[in-house]
This record gives sequence, structure tokens and C-alpha cells, in this order.
Amino acid sequence: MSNLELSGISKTFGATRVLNDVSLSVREGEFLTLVGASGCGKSTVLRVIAGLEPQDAGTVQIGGRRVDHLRPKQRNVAMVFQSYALYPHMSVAENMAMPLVMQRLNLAERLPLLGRLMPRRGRLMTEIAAEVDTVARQLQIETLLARKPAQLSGGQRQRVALGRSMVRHPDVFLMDEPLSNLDAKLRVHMRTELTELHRRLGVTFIYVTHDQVEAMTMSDRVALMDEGRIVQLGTPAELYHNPSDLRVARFIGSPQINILSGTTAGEGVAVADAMLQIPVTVPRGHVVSVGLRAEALSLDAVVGRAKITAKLGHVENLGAEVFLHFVLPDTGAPLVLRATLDAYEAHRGKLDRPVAITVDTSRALVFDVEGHRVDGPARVAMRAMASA
Amino acid sequence: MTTVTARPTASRHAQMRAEAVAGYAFATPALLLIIILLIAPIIVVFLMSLTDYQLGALDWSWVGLGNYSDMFADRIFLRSLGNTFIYVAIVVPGSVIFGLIIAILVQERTKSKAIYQTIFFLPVTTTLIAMSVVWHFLLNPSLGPVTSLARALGFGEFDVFGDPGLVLAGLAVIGIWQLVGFNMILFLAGLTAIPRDLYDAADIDGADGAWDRFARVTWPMLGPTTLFVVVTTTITAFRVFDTVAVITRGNPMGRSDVLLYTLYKVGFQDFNIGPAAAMTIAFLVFVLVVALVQAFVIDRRTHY
Repeated sequence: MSNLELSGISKTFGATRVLNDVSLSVREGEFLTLVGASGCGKSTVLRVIAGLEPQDAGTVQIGGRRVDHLRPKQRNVAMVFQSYALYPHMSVAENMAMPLVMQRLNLAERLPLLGRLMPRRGRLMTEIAAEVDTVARQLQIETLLARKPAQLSGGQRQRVALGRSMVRHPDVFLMDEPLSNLDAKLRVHMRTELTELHRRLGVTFIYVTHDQVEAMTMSDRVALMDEGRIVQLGTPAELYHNPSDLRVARFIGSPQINILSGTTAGEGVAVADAMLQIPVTVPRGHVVSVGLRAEALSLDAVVGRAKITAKLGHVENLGAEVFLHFVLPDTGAPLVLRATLDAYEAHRGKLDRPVAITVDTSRALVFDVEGHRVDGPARVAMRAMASA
Repeated sequence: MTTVTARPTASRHAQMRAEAVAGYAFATPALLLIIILLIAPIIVVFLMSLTDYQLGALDWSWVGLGNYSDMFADRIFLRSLGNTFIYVAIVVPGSVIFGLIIAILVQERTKSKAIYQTIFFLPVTTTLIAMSVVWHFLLNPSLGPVTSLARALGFGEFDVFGDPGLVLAGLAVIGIWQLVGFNMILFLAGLTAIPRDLYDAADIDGADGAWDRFARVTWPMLGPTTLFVVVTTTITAFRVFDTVAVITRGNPMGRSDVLLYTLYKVGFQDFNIGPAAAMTIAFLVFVLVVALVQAFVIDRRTHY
């Protein structure tokens, strides 16, 4: 069942086209991440869903009903902002109670002093305080309820912002780079915590980030955006192993995918001093880009596999594994190889001279000059199956 | 061993002393200027307030606190003090509230913002003495266009600056007119500093009506600005002089006597420097109290 549906969303700011025909169907309870470089339009998608920014064209449906004409509060979505956007003059409890106060109390009951005279107010405020307390316990911030945001650490503010979005039980959680103001260690911790929160609540999350690691580790599905369009939508594994576009291949994965320039030839693609036997849909003699993940390369010689000669530059030792940064002798193009520490130790002796690097051709990705995949539809489908 | 440890300690002391000397040397010019330009004049005025010195006179003698006891028994002084407080009580809320309203309205303009800003700021840039003449003409009971208009519309005759009940209000309107632009600029600066995200969050939380946005976001976030504006406006309003000196000269029947105008009359028309100096000290105390309230009470309460 689809919980959130965007169809043909376009948005222009002045002369700039920020969103260009964005369509997206999000399942109930799914954790979907919009990822992309800054300025790709991912935050604007979120703001359109929330109703903070009206779209120029297209429709938004939440829970099967069109919400284009509804104001943000009527869409029953909650949003966590990068800056957290907590009200600095209110305590944590007041911040978290805000959506409920606005929902349940009428204008007279909300008045600063006169409101206290209204008959229903006392009962409603007690109810709200109890609900705020429940959510605060879930987030382990019940001891902070009396504090002001300025007295909290970044991580605590983050939880308060989450709490404020949770109290109203929204249909959709919208999160705009919620972790980017935290330090690296806390960010990793909050990643786990958010994923667990999502599992516990079972509600749809739309998460915006520029960090591909967050996208890969947290999401059910990822939509990679560039220049106001969704380039590819799929599971993290699909995006990693079977990117449909060179931009996706480059954006996803760390270390970044190796891209080598090649030429199509009779039985495949010629790259540096190797001939990779890959069926391509481009006629021979054309320039293509070959994408090789660091783990598709190996120092071990395998009979029948293509080899590229390269010279070792520097070594990044991560403990259990190492990234070996090679340079191709002719072009000076870089090539990163991922090896276990043992494999690296085994081959260490010969690495002061140019060595032959074995290429796992079945994992190579070929793109034409426009960045589209050209290594044959059968291969794409096969890789999709392998990654599923 | 002892010589080895003693030497660094001694040199550290010497270094600290040298730094202290350098620090005082750097601070001295500023300190001297403050003493010459601010502290010394205040002390001189205070000393004068203890004498019966008359401008141009050759003899004078100490009279102790006599000028102060005279001052608090003087009906004219007490009346001007009362008038000044009434004037402040009208001008401060008037110019702060209108400044805020105009700032919010101007803030929401996009293309015409600069034009409106300039128009509302114009009174601040004008010379109040010259503008007082204009206001005097505008509100003149026989020649002024405002009064002719009122008469044509059937509101009857009125003479703002001749009516004991209206004169302070009339002067206050001019004071508000002059201060609104300045307060608007301060509020605009405060409004621009409010993060957009807060309004977005308020929209999503349901505080999206004009009143809720103002009450839940704008007004609390403008707290520090508002208090600064109130304090500066209070001090400025306290110093009202130009309009009174040009338009009413304390008339009718002393109903527009204000503190600085009375001080001016005593000091520079009657040449009674001693009593005038005592009034100056009294004036200084009032302004100081306002400034201290800002520094110690307000600053601590409104910063988040």
C-alpha cells in the first residue's frame, strides 16, 4: 500500500528549475532516503511534501488523499529540521507540547493569561503533559523537560526535535539532514537510534541527507537526486551494485568507485593495458567509462581474468582492511584497491614495482559518454538479481 | 637545584609584571579620554551644583545641598518633571508599538521594502528644530492645513499647542513621529535575525495564523531587541527639548514645561548656574537608572 505519492512535481525559483517532474511512491512504513549533493532539490521535495513550499505542477497524496490544497498542519506530517528549529524561549516540555497545544486548544484557551480561566484548559493541558512525558521517556529525555534548548547539547536538542515530531503521531516523518549538526561519533550513534525508532514506530520516514553512508545504512530504499530529478530509486544494494547512471556510481560508495576511460573494441572494452570481456551496446571504437569498485580489484592472480598494470602510491590502513592507492603508468589515473590486511601483507614484497591487478570483469560497470549504463541489458538484470 | 627552579619563577614574575605594565599602557589613553570627557565634567557639574554661582558673576560661595532642597520645593521643577514623565509615558509605548507594527509590515514587502524603509526613516534624518517649525505651521489654529481640514470635516476648532489638555499629547505625537523610523530600523534588524526554520516549524506545529506566528515566534524572539528599543527610546524621550523650545516654550500655563527646557531657562536665561547644575545631576540620575535597569535586569532575562 502506498502511503505517500508524488506525481510530476515541478518547482521553479525565479529562473532556476529546482524540481523537474519528480514522481515517487513511498510504501507504508518505509524508510526512504533522498540523497544528493547540495542544491539537487532534495530539501525542496521535503518542503513540498510538508506544504511549506507550494509546487508549480504535480500532486502530492498522503494516505490516499490529495493534500495539495491543505496547509502544513492539516497534512499530519512532522518535520525535523537540520537546525532542529526549537523555540528558544520555551522549555523542552513546552517545545514538545506545541503541536498538541495548537491542535487541541482553541484560540481563547491559548491566550497567555485569560486562557487559564477557560474551563477545558486545565484538563487538556494535563493530558498533553502526560503524552509529552510518555514520548520523553521513550527518548530518554524525561529529566530535561524543564530546561531551555540553550542548556542542551546537540544530541539532546536532536532528541527534543524528534520528540516534538513524535507527540502528534504523524502519518509521515520528514527529516531534513537531522544529523549533520552532530559530531562524527554521535552521528553514527544516532543513525542506529533513528533506525530503531523507525522500526518501533512503523511509520513512513522520508529522510534527506547529502551523506551517502547515512543513505546506505539506514534506508529501505534510496532515491538519488541530481539537478532536480530522481536519477535512480532502489534499495541501497541496487544503487551500489547496479547503478543505472554514472552519477549514481560516483555518489554511492566509499572509497569512491574507480572510473577509467576505455574504448569499445571487438570482444569488449579496452582499458589501459587490459581487454575486459564485457558485452556492450555501444558500437566499437567509442569512448566509454568503466567503473570498478575497489573490491572488484585484487592482487591475487586468477587464471583467465584481465589484468591492469599499475604502480602503488600511498596506502590507507584501516586496521582490518587496507585501501591501496595505485596510479596507472601511462595516464596517471588513480585506482583504489580494497584488500584484507593479510592479502596486503602477502603481496607486500612486490609492491615497490608496477604490479598486475586482477579485474573481476563480472563486477565492472560500463557507461557511455552521457553516463548511461551500456554493458548490456542482460547484465544489468543479472546484477539486479544478484544484489536482491 | 634551587637556583634552577628559582630562575624560571623569577623570570615569569618579571614577564607578568611587564605584561601588566604594557596592558595599563595600552589602556591609559582611553582611560584618560574617559576621565577628561566624561568623568571630569560630571564632577565639575556636581561641584557647581553645590554653589550659588551665577554666570558672569565674580563672587560665589558654597551652599551645600541647598540647591537640591530648593529644587525639590520648586513647583516649576516638579511640574516639568511630571510633564516629562507624562511625555515619556506617551512617546515610549507609541513609538515602540508603531515602530514594531511598521517593521513587520515593511518586512513582508519584497520589492518596495527599501522605499518604505527610506520613507519611514526620513524623520530621523531631519533636524527636529526645523521640523518643529513645520509642525507648528501644520497645526496652527488659523493657518494650518490640519486644522482647516478638521474644520472642513466638522470636527470643530482646536488649537493643539494652545490647549493645556492637548499640548503634551501634541508634542508627544511629534516625538513619536520622529522616533518611529529609528525604532523600525532596529526592529527590522531584529526580525531579519529570526531563523526562517522557526516559522516553518511553527507552520507544521499548527501555529500558522498571523496571531500565533507573532505570539509564539516573532514577539519572543524580538525580546532582546524590544528591550533595547524601549531603553534607548526612554532616554531619548527624556531629553525632549527642541520641540518645546521652538513651538510652545513651556506654554500654555507651564503645561509643556519639561525638564531640559526648565533647566535651560534657569541656567541660560536666568544665569543661575548652581540650581541648573543640580537639575542636571537629577536628570543624569534618571537616565542612569534606566541604563542600569537595562544592564542588570533586562539583559539577563531576555537572552536565551
